[in-house]
Amino acid sequence: MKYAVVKENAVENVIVADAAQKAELEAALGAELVDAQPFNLQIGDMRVGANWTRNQDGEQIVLTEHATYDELLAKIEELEAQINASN
Amino acid sequence: MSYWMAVRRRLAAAALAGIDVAALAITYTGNMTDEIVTMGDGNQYRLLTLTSSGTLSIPAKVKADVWLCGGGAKGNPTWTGGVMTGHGGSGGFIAQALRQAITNITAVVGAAAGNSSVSGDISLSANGAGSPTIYSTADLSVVYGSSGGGGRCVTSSDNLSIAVGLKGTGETTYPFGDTIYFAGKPHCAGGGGGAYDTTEFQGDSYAADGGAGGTNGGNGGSGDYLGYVSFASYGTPGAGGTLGGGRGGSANTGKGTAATFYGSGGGGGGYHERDEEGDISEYTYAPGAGYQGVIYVRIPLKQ
Repeated sequence: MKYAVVKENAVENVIVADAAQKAELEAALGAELVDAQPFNLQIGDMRVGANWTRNQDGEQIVLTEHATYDELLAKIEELEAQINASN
Repeated sequence: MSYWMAVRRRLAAAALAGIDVAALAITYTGNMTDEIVTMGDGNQYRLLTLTSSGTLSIPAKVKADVWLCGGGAKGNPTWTGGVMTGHGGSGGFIAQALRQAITNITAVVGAAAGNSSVSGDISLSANGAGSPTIYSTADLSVVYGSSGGGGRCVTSSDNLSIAVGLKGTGETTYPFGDTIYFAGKPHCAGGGGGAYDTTEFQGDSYAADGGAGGTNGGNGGSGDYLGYVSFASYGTPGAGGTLGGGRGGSANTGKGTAATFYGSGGGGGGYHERDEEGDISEYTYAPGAGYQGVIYVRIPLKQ
């Protein structure tokens, strides 16, 4: 999965790693690893309080959470089930 | 002969006997493929391909070559403010170090546009590809990645100077420079630029083609303004560079495609405009995503 490498509340890198290696890599890199997918975190994004923010054209905007791929699949399955039930 | 002299002789002989590289119990905590191959120089290697981050442990100090690339950039979106389609994403940067003594290394594999690195016994890094601003003429003297993204489209032949492709580094992107073993697999291709077209009500169509993505450290191709084309014709999106650069977006083909091979950039966004007697509808086609980086470690069987 895709992790943001976070130091002092700033995303320094975005890497590929298995969830099983999260703790190992956090220790090796001296950084916090955060799932990058929900907010599509990119290098340079900053955490301010509970929010993730991004400098967009000079404005620090608050990022909104996207549905995960698995959540979208689950929603599709839910809708398909409703369609099938109504037929 | 003294006892200690005999010990020294036996130790020297053991060292000369070398290491059985093929038999080493090499472990990696991330995802890795491990194979013994004959590469382009005719020598046999134990080739490790690391595709996710982790810790590599080799039970004996060996001499090895390391090659890595950062992740490719997403293509740029279309800017509707002045109507320019998106550049293709550039390929990730590369780095290599030869004949390094290694036993333990931490490997970080960059996601799209992320940086890859190796630390521990050696230190080596390769940045992910960057992107120019979408709003105005990009500083095309800047190198955003190893192979450049394809040029964007503009709405007039007067603006072709800003349709040029992004610059590449000019260095080969075949791992270890091995064009034989990796034949057909130059890494870090650029994505193609997005296409442009506009159709007027029962009338003329105007179009521009996106530039092709760069290959093997090359520059991206320039976008091309076609001007008038036959009714309902489309601009052609730039093709991705070899191997795995994404195709640009266009009205005919939809959104830009994602890159499909290590370090490659995605296709740039496209644009279509429909002018119904002054009632203008704009359609933009999203850019494609870049592809993650990779790290190769090759250990000669003959140390």
